[in-house]
Amino acid sequence: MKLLAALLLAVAPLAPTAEPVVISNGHVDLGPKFVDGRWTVQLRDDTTDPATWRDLDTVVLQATSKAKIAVPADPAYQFLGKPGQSIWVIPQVQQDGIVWPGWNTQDTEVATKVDREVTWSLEGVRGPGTFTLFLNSDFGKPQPVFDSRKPFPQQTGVDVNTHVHGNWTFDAQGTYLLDVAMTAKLTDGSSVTDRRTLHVYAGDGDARTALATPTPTPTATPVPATAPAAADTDSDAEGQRIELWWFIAGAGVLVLATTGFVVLRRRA
Amino acid sequence: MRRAIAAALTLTLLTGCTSTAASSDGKLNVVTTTEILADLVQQVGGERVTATSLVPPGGDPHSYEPTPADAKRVAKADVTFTNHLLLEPQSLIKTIDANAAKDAPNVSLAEAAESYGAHVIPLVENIGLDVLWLGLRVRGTGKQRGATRTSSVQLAATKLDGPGQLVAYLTESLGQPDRYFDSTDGLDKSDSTTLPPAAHTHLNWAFTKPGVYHLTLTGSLDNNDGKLQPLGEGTFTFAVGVDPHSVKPVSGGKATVLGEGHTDLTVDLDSGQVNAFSDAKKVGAAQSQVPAADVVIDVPNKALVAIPDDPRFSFLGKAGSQIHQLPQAVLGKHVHGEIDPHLWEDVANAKAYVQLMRDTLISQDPDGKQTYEANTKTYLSKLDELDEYVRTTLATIPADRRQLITTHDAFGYLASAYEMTVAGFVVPNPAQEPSVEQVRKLSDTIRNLRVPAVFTEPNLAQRASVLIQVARDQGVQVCSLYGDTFDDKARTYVDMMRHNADELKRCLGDHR
Repeated sequence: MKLLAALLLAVAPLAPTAEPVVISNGHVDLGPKFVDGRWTVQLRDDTTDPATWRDLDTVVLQATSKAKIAVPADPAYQFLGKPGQSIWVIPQVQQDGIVWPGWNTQDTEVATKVDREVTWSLEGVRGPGTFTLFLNSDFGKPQPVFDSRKPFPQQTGVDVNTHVHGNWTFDAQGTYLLDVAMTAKLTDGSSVTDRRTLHVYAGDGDARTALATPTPTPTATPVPATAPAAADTDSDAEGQRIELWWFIAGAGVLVLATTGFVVLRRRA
Repeated sequence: MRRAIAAALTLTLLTGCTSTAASSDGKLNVVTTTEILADLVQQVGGERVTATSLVPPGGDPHSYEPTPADAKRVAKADVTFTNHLLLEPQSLIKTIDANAAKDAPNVSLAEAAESYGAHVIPLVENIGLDVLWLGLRVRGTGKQRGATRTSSVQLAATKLDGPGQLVAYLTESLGQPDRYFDSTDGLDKSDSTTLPPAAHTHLNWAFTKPGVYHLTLTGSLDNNDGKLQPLGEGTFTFAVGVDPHSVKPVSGGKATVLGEGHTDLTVDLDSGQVNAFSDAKKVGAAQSQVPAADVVIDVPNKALVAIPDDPRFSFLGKAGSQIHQLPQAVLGKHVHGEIDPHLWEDVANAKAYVQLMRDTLISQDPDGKQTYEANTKTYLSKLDELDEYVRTTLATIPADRRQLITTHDAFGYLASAYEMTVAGFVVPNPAQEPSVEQVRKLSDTIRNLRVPAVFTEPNLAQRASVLIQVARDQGVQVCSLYGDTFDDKARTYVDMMRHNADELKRCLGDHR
């Protein structure tokens, strides 16, 4: 394992994917990663094999009509809207045909260097409606993580070397720019932080327009590209990804361990 | 972040401050919040230092309200030490921060001691989430069995024995439960689920009664050719509400007890084996894979919950009745950014405090450098002996009896350093009132574990009434442990820790 870890470091830095992609199906995780030694918030894309860590300004997560649901009458879910109102919910549990975004602190270098936990903060949201992120556990009482109607910044802690999924909700169609930052104290006593914009598109429209929307934060400086090793891959079987060309990053395979996939069939 | 800045500021003060002592008796005047901290400072300072605490003997630091006299004492102090991290109430911390002289170091020990090697543990907010995170998984490619990415694997619950029922279910986004395995209506074809290769999912695992359960899982491969190819089966053992160390796995051999972290009950497509696949405990270490027959899964009394009054969950039993349940998601287990403040219950952490105190005193009184260094050296070796004493004493207690039930959550470090288990407490923080639910849970915990003793803290007499009542009802011995303060029997840190070790051995180590 040690040798593998060393190899992982050796193949880093990863090349950022140059071409924008839209992901509307499969597993992805938001998380910090050391890119060229620099703490960077990226998106780990497990729809490729091996996984690809993407710069946030090259990727859009799309909640298509498959993610559309009606707000239930249960008072516990009133924060989502009026009962019966149609909203987009990207669920905590994977559903076939809907992107499954989680967040993790499992990049090997991150997991080794971070002291206890990463602070994930939402610094602002721009979009046509309300964004919320909440968790659901045993008895269905929702636990809010973020809510764009509340004052910013909003914070949550992510224990080091963990991987979590939640429910991402959007109540109007269009582009949402989530201004996110991840901050941590490292075991050597220093602190690291990075702030980026996550692009999400709710609806069946052209999600690529989300990338054309100006980014509200000036801090999201793209990491300079090193010459990437380009790879030609087959068209994705599910046909969900719009962009068919991308650069394969050789690393990241080690952290595949806790990646989850869809449950196809349920108990009758 | 705020904490990091505060710690940095403290270090700046340490290095930047060299004004000399100026108290009336010529000694360095050190004020601490608690008696434990004052004792540690006195050991380091010896004759050159007068160390006193703001919280009076026997007082509870969690709820102590500062007086105007305290503000004056702080203003006159050459050095102040707080533990911080929510041990002391905000009003006490504010009094110190507002009144401490500008050139007097004001050190928050718990946070700054990390750079001296203190081991800190995050504060557990929801003890019910501080349990094993258990899921289902398929591993391997199954190539030699003809599996492709469109194949799927069926995992079926084929046999369950135990004192009650098991329901493994998933709660979906809007609170809708989806049952995977449910023994309440017997186990049949419907008690199965299908996962693609290399998949995993999390579930709630609910048990209706405490005791030992055996669950057999059977895996089959579906290559879309109309027939199921049998893989293997395995039988897992669950210790529900009972001490897992007292339970034998199916193999009858040595058990691998799984009680924390993330584990999936797994079928391996290549070997056909059914096993428990766990995340590495340490970063960089290998994940572990233990055959089902060697596994004992700990479903502790921390996992007791009341069934909600919600018809969607009526399959679990009557609303309000208690079940043991490992939850499908464990985020929210820790309070973001908060650390358990009771560091000194691990002697190694007291050593870190002492070294930080030494350097702080030297910064304020450089002439005393040699004395402080010599005193510290002597005291550190005393603490090494103490650590060894606590360790060897507690090691004599059989593993299945190392259960701590206390008045408040002050013994996480003791448990972590000396291999004890925090089985329960009345309330997390003594400033809180216990709810009916908490008292019931405590009661069930004592009954299910058949613990020989529970532990009160001398300074928390009022809080102890609940625990003493519950213990009397069940005929369980009531013993005492020092948490945050001394009393007239224990006047030093070393006395207090020796008492704790002796008392634990006396009350837990002997006959049940």
